[in-house]
Amino acid sequence: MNSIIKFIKSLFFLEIFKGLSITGKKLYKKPITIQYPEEKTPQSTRFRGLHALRKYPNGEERCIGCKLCEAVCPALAITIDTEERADDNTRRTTKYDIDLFKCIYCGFCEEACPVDAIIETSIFEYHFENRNDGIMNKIDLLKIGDLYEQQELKDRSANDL
Amino acid sequence: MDIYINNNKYQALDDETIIQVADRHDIHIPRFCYHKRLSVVASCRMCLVEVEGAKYPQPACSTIVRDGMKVNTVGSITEDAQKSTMEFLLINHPLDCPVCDQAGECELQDISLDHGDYKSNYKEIKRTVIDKDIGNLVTTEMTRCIHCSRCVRFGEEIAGIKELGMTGRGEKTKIETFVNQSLTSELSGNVIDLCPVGALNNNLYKYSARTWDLKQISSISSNDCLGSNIHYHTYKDEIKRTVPKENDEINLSWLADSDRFGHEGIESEERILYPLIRSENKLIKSDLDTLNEVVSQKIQEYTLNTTAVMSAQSSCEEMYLFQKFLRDIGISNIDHRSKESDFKYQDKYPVIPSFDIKLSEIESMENIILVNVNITKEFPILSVYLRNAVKQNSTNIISLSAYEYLENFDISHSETLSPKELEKYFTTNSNNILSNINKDNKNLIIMGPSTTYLKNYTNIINNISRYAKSINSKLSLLGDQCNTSGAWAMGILPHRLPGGIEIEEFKQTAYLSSYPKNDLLIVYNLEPEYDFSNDTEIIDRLKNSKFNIFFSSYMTDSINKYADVVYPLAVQQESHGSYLNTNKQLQVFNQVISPRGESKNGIELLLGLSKRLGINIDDKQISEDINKILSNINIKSNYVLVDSMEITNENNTLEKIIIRSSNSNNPTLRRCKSLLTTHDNDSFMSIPNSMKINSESKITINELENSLKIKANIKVHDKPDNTILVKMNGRYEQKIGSYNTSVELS
Repeated sequence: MNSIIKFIKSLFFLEIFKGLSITGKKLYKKPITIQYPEEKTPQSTRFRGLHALRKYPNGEERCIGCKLCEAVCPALAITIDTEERADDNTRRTTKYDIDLFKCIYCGFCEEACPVDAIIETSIFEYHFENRNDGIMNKIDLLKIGDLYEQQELKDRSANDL
Repeated sequence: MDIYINNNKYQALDDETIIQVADRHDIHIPRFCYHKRLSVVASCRMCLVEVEGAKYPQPACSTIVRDGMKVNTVGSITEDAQKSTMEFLLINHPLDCPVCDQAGECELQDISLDHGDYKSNYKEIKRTVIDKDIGNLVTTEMTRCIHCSRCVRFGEEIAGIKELGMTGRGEKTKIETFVNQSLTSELSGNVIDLCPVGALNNNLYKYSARTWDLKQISSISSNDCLGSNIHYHTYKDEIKRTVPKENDEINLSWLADSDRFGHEGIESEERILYPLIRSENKLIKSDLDTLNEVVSQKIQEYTLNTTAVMSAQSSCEEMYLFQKFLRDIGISNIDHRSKESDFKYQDKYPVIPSFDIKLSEIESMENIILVNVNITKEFPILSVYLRNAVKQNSTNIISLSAYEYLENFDISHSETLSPKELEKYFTTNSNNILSNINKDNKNLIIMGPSTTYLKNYTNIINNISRYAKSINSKLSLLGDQCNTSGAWAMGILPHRLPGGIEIEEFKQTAYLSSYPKNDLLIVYNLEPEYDFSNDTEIIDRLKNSKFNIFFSSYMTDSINKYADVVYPLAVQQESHGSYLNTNKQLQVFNQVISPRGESKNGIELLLGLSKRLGINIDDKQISEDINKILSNINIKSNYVLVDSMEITNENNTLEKIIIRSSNSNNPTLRRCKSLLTTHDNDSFMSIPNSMKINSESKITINELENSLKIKANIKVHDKPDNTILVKMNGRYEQKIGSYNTSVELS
């Protein structure tokens, strides 16, 4: 009996029509694919992208070199060296490196930071031409922080709601 | 008696407190102010425990146990008490753990996590305290202080100098020094370990690493002959700090400042990082093969005219190798006593000069005679024992030395004596305080290393030995360097092989006085400017000799000028080996950090050189050999009884005596800036009162053809006569470190 039904189905291309009916339906609907570089999908305000180091409004860097992000990082992507800054005897970093090839973007560093210095911004589109470029240093991170500070404040206020 | 803690039965002794019983059985009771080696004040209230029958929780640190006592360390009453105490302590404690160096090992952090509450009812403003500059070694952040008073009690009870005190009452209580920069006792660094929070912290370690990153490697101190046990904490192959490793036979829970801050010099700019060889009057970078090639040629050429001087800083392994390969090729002029100038005693000297009694036995002594030693400055750990003896047993301590030393324990009689007077003081016919000492009492004579520098050392030690024998006292000899005992045992001597086997035909030490013209000098880990009894003479000799071989970790002027080859020697922390301490204990230490640059540890350098010379030594055999040598040594006493004494001639010329500066005693210590600026800020020249000097007087010190002008504070003294005392600290000023030079006043 089964073999007869199978024979009839294949004789009249029933399965092909069934499949093509979905194609036919979607043909006249608005497509969900977006044209990536020109168009972009909406992003969560909690998106965890490229890292940045923030500063206080007066220009002072936030990071106090407590090394909690280094300690919490599950991928061991962060390397920090600290020393006493001569000007005001505060604890500051002399080196703050993040290896983006090691980073798994878990956001633990952000969570561990007691002064909200290290953040993961919404930037997700970036590339490197050399392998070494994958290691972000303190200067790069502070620069990104400067550029994305306003965005970060916006995201933060959205998260607070 | 039996007591019950948490319904379990435990044995306890009379007069014990609950916390002592609990600690012995690993039952955790939180505490801040209690420390096992300090007195009990019960001020922090953290150790409150429920005691059955008592109305309120009792402090475990001050409650004495009684038979059948029932203690509960986990019940709700105890927990409530702990929570409330914790809340009170945290009222004024700042929330700056992220920048605090104590974070991660902080007792307040740990106990707050275990016993504290997650919220506080305190909403008001927290207290802030302005920091005081208390010195170069310890940083302060007094807002963090919880007033446990451990540091204050340490000063009163252990260090003997009350440097930190508590002022004010209630909320205005402050821990502070009364004057700025005044934390200078040789044990002051211990307050860092004692502080349960981050109020007192290590200045060298400040903000450089975090406690959870540190790797702990145990080692042995290389700064004094007691051989304190220490832990080095390293991070990324750098020593970040040093903490004590508890050893009840030596350093208890303490550490001298020279040990704690003595690693600063390792990273000095003067480190020799490459093998160096002289070419056209300049030292240039080379490699070990070239060096070994040149050196082996020269050694074979000058075998009979070679002199080798080795530092007693070296490990037993290095010493054994050094003397073995030199003696195998026929060089027998070997010595380690670069600071001494009288060697006539040497045949009678014990095979291993040692302290002879256990440090813990000091407490039971009734009379102790200190000869030419400033225990507090030179052997801070020993001062803890002596202080304890005075406190517990009211030991009678007599100090006989060239200078009126300040000690942190009570001295019942002190006498200032010149070397000649010191020699006479111990003879039987002299009528002085020593004749009152009863031979039935427990007596001890401790002789300091600066006695060995003196020109009449043979006579002094002979007289002291005779006297010690007459009062049934042991003679304790303290070593100048960390491995002085080892150097004697390993045969770094012209007249003895390892194990004290006498050589039939020996010469007096040859780096001094007469020496052949065509000669070769090997200087191992010694700096000509600072480590020789007569620096001008040794530099003169370096100038005239045909070839100079240096093994050194640091560059100095004289090495730069006169060395023909320089082997880059790793410092103690970068090599492994063993030290024989003054109690004849062989203590092994491991490599802590990797050698800087191309420097190599002494064992490797010596093995390489001896292999080039055709002498094959199995390096695995060395430590076995050393153990064999040491196990065969049998010493009855430290008495040195010389048969025929030369009479010290009496003349009235001025004599110069150097006061030993323990904080610039070895090459690494000389480069520890914070130590030198803290402890050695009192360099001076002391001139007899009878010289009638005034501010315009000029002092000229003649050393061979050179004369030196001296910038120093001038003091005057009444005794001893005809003696100029010099204490020149730091590195550059120490150049006048020769021990026998004539002095002129004009």
